[in-house]
Amino acid sequence: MDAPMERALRVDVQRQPDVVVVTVSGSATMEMSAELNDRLIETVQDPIPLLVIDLAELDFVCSEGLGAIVNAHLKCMRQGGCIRLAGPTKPILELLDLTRLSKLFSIFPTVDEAIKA
Amino acid sequence: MARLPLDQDSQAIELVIPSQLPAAKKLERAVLAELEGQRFPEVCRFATKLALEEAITNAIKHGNRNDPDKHITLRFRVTPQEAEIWVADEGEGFDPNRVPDPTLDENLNKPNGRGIMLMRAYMDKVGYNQTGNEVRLIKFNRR
Repeated sequence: MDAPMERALRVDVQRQPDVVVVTVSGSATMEMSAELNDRLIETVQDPIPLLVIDLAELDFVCSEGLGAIVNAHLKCMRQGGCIRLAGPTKPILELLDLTRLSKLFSIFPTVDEAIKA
Repeated sequence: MARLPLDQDSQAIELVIPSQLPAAKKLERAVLAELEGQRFPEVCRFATKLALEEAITNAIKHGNRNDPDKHITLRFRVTPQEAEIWVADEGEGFDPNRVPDPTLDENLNKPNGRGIMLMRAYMDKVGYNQTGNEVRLIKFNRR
């Protein structure tokens, strides 16, 4: 019997004035976390005041995927910007709480609320 | 991927794969298919998938030091009551009790070091052999 297929990782970047929204959907698995890291680092290559990562469609993330978000946070912070997380589902929020990354990041129910905060 | 039958009493399956992510991913699917077959709920499958990914990543990166010529050995046994998984690498091993706690304030900013903590948080039992190059994971089927 085959296990149910996981949704492929997808990273979409939307640049708006003063804010960049990155939508991460699917599964940030051990195989795909390097790609997530590359896309996030590429996004914060130039200084941006605010990066919102939309996690509403993120099904799964391993520690390497969490590490990619922390990496982007460090780079963004060094350049005077900040990262906010939006819309994590219950299992992803639980992961953020267990790792205490919910202390490192501000987390909002929606992208709009993260932008307006 | 070599598949070796173990003794019939244990009902365990052993798989030996190259120390590479694509091969490891196939192995992960094989384990998760067994859990699906034994009707483990989604929450248990999520937890086992996460712990397995952490164990495999540690085996490839830290145990086998990204050497694609080395191997990972995975054994698993899934019953309607529980899933038991062993992941072994060819490294020298380590002392899991000396790994820094990633949830301490001073470590929150570090990109790495959360794997062992996540395995412990999501599985019902986690143990290492004496050398520290094999981890044993157990998840109970709580329907």
